[in-house]
Amino acid sequence: MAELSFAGLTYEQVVTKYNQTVVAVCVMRLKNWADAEDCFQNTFVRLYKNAPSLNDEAHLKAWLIRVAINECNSYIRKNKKFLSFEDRKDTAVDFPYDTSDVSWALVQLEPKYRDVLYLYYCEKYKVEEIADILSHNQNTVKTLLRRGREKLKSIYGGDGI
Amino acid sequence: MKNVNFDSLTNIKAPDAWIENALNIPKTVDKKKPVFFIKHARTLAAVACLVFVSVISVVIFLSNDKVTVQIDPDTKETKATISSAQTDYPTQHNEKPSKEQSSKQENKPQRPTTPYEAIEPPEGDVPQKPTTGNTDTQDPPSPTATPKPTEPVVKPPTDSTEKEDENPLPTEPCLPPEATEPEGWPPVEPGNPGNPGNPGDPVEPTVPDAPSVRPTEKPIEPTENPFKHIGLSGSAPLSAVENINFVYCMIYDSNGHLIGDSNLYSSQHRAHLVEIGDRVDFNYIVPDGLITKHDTYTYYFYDRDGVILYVGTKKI
Repeated sequence: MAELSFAGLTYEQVVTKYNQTVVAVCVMRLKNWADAEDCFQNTFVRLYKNAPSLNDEAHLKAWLIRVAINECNSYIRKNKKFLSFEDRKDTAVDFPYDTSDVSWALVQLEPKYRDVLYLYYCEKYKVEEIADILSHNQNTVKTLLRRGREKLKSIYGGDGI
Repeated sequence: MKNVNFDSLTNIKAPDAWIENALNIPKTVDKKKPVFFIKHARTLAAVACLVFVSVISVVIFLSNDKVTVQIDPDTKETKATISSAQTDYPTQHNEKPSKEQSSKQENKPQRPTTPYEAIEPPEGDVPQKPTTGNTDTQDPPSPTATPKPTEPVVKPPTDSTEKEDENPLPTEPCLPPEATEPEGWPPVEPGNPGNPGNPGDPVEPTVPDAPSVRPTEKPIEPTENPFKHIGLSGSAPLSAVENINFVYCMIYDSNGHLIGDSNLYSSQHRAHLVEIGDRVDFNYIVPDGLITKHDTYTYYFYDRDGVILYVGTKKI
């Protein structure tokens, strides 16, 4: 069988290149290593099984982020009746408290703000790209960005980012 | 303005085990499934059900048609090996057989169905009236018009196309035929008795696997038509029919005319045997349509050798 190609990359190359992006999304969303691993693996399983036809790597990355977010959402939805994230501190992701590195504050935001801020500041996406990835209106993304910044500031106590 | 970042989140690294597992996904995960069957699973299932039901319906329909074994009354060849539950017996008897059929019959001289007129019986094989078992027998019809009681009489084959009787060893249950119109039957010559069979001839051995009791599947229900489901019965001691597999019944009207098939050993003449204690009852259902007028009929139960087992009369 011919080897699958994703935007010119082999499957192994995709995993090697974008595993950090996917794990960041999963950890940010789930704040737990064990749960994040499940979604991490499921994301690449879907990549391999669905074999989406993507034009370039930008689309491939966006696709991975979108799928990872969906996997996390479905994971939370399926397990919210059985799991309490507060009770799973043994595998919880612990971001160090820092006045300059505010990742710890970001993960405390509501998911809708968290996703937008992560994509905007960490992945360096533009508003229209974020709107495309999250299937939102651009104005909605702008609003979420503005409100997310305010909430983030209120959490880490800074005066702006 | 304070400069903040998300370095710990952006620089987070996946454990090596995760990456290894992700790289092993192609080896563990099944390859792409046929998308068509996944997307259209319900449609395919519905179509498969429809096809299945259709096939079953067609099979049932065809099987109902083909189970019936049609016996051509003229060729009088019974496919005895067909063990079918439903057997139709001939309803018409007055059609002439084809040349091919007649020649086919002539090529089988050793069959036990050979017309017994053509075989001279030995002297000791003259059918005799049993001494017991017919206490209520009456005299047969006039000797000028009816056969002797001890000798079943059939019309000799005047036509080369006249057929032999059927295979005497059918495995099918003998059901009363649905005969309707005996019109066109050649009259029986009263003065030409025949021997129904010669046991000394090289005939195929009879297989004694036929059940002696032949339950009638169709219950006899009284109807307004007196010519329907006419039953004739007789009896004989068990010793008289000890080695007999089949008993036949022939009926003559008051004018000495044979009712029904001129072949006295056809399935139309076959009677049922019911063993009760030390006696055996003979039951014969006259096929509908053979008797169409009120008269006094004389009937004879006889065995394969032509031995009269019982003589009775019935007024209809």
